[in-house]
Amino acid sequence: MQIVAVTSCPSGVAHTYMSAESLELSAKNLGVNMKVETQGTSGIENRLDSSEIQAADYVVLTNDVEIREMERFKGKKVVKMSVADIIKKSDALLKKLKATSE
Amino acid sequence: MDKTSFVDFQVVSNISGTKKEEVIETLVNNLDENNYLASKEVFLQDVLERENTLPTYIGYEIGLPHSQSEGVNYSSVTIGRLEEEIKWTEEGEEVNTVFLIAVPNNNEDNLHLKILSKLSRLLMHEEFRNEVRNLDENALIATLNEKVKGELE
Repeated sequence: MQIVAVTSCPSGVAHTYMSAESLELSAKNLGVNMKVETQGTSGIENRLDSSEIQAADYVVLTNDVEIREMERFKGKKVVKMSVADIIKKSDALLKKLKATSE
Repeated sequence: MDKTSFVDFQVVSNISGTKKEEVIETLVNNLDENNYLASKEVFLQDVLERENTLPTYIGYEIGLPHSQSEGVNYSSVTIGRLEEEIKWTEEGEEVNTVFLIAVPNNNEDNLHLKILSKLSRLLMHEEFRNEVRNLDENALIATLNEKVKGELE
């Protein structure tokens, strides 16, 4: 399974990256192919390209602040969660998405 | 302090406060005494405002108050280790370790933001959290320099 994600938070210096790391750690543990773009104060890092988005089964987005360039995800299955929930529950989220896609 | 460095690390252990505001103020005072701040009052207010908007509880009994503020002269991360757990959120979530991140408002270089993002990522690793809780102060600062700064050089 392939998942792409974009994380962002109100101040852009901490929770953006914690939620990204949390998703990457969970993905590694569960054998999920994951790429996470961060939209923090440093700008967009690890940018998702259109082929990666196209190949993804799911798109995970944080919903604390507006995600930039949302038009990229038109027509995709999108899951929105707060950074706090992703940090606490990224394992559960990925397990659920894995179970749903099988 | 080492003013040539982009971000310095400080450790304050055995903090005995019982309230979140009190603990944050202890850490802010420590920064002020070490000349990291332009205005203690401005920085403290900015940090508390940010806390009130959205508490910086991240799980694992860790709070991560942070602000990019006009009250800051030099970037720093202070690790505060508490004697007792204190309540951090309205929901009653408790913390025993606090990372206070202070960043100047007028920064032009992204390097310290990269250091802060690296630190945020490290906090998601159990081994790192154990080191933060258990190492003595000098060993912890060495670990932070190696794991946070080292990777950027």
